[in-house]
Amino acid sequence: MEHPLTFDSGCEQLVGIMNTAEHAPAARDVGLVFAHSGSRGRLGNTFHYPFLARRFAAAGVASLRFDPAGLGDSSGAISTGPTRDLYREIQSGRFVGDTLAAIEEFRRRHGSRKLYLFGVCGGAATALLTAAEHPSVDGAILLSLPVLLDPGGMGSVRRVPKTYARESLRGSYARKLVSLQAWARLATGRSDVRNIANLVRSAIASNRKPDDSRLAATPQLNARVVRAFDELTGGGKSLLVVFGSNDAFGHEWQAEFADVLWEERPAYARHVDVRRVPGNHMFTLREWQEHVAELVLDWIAADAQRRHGGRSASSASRETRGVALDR
Amino acid sequence: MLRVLSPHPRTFMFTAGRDTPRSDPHLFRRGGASLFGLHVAAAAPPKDFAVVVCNAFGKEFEIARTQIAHFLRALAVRGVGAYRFDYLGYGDSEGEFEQATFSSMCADLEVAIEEAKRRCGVERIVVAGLRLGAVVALAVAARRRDAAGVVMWSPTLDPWEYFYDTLRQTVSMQAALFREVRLARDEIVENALAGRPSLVEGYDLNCTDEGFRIGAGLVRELRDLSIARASDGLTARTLVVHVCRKPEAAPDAVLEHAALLRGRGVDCAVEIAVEATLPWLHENVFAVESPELFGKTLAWLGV
Repeated sequence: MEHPLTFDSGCEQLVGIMNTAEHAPAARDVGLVFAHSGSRGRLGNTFHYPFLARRFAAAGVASLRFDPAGLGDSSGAISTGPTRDLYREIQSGRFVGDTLAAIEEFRRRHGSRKLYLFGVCGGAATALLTAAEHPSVDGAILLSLPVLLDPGGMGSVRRVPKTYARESLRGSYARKLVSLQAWARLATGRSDVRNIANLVRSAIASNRKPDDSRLAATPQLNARVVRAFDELTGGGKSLLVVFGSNDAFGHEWQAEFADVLWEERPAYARHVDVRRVPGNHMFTLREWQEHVAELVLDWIAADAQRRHGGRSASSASRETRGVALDR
Repeated sequence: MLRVLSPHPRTFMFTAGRDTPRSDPHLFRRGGASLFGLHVAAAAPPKDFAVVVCNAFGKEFEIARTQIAHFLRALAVRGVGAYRFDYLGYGDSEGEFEQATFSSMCADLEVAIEEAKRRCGVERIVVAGLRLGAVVALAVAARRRDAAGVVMWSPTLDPWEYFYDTLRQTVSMQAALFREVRLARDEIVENALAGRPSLVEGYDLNCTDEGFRIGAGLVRELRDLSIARASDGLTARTLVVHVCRKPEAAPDAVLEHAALLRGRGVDCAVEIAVEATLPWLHENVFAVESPELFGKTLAWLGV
């Protein structure tokens, strides 16, 4: 069953949808609050949030999806400006207050014993930062989590990690050098020239020593994300981190976060489960969404079992933190 | 706070300084399906008409939803009851995206208009639409006597060309997934029309915009859709707004469409709205309002 609803966050009216679980016994046990999906609010991309919410409800997991202030149907002002500035604000916690309000609304209406947060991209950052602030959240499911803070500004080129750029150039574009069809596409303006230029620039530029001006435009590791991981894992909370196999953010995670922080923070290995599954950044194909739904439901069930059974999650985490492709 | 970009220094201008009107999200029925609706009641002495807004197609729907909701509130503070809805298979409405056809979108609008009239307590409706939603608005307004006006925001006046173009995303996605293009657009269209999946390595690529599954009904109807036929019978005054990033003349297709309607005796105005970002695209600038688009539409409505 789906129930449209409204609730207040500060002086803004937020609009959401409650999906109640279809199996009564489990319904009161586990609940899930969706943080927004990037800048698309409660629908996600290719409507994957309603799809997932319905899947979860059919499996006995109730959920609340909502639009944070200014996005979708919710009231609120967002000043016109560079999209990257909005991303940077989101990564800095712009929608944490709204998500805390959503948790309270969900608890008031549903009252499940265990509560997880779920988010994709910027929504994953919001879910993570919110989970660290709310004591009764049991864990968070983070898809395509950005660990770097967007530099902001009006740059038209999206950030591309060095490894991702090189893999893409080798895998996709190298063979096109000898393809007449590919050259024909380029000559007739049907190739994505901006993307190719972006990949080349990223692959080459990252080998150069950055000067001060380039440093200013370089994404930085988001200290808030690190603090939230520290607080949540230190408190024994569970985190599921998922990246699509075609998502550049997975490379950022590995190079800038996991490779740097994992060894010195043993709590991460105990409480963070990392998966790399088939998909792109926003998991836009239904096949990928089906896979994510199954993965999340399995993980929630396993987490509940771990907690009730007192078993450590460390073995599973160690097996999966290297972001091996999970098929 | 985010930096404000020229040439529109005042942001959030359409509800600024006023109490934000409250929204009422709900579900309503069309046949056996629940559809999502959002009503924003008039927050000033009410006018004798309401506005129903039809959103765009696929990904454009997702992106434009924010601006449309802000437009509803801008209407409400001016005394106009405002309403939007999700088509069958879209957003929070029931059904799968591949079930949605042009006919089903029109049928959804018909029921949404009745819902809006009931909730707003009015007998006359202005039907507004964005992109493909503008064509839906036009087609439905042409067959209703209670349509007091039609607003077309950057309408897709050649629906088939527009739809075919959206399949580019599905083609470029293959390059990322398989390192090569396995299925061209024509093959995807052929498979969709035949009711066959376009299977590549376990993925059904009968989809647009990287993942919206398309059905035979939609493809067939868009291929055969004629704006001239769909608008036959329209008498309501009409506004067509061409939205662009820099000042330019209205495209020939817009001028020809306006001429067609005028030739049939319809009072049809054409406006240009220059915006920092196109409200149906994900671009480098993020905006929740389109100042010229909203302003010119409100002025045309007389509110």
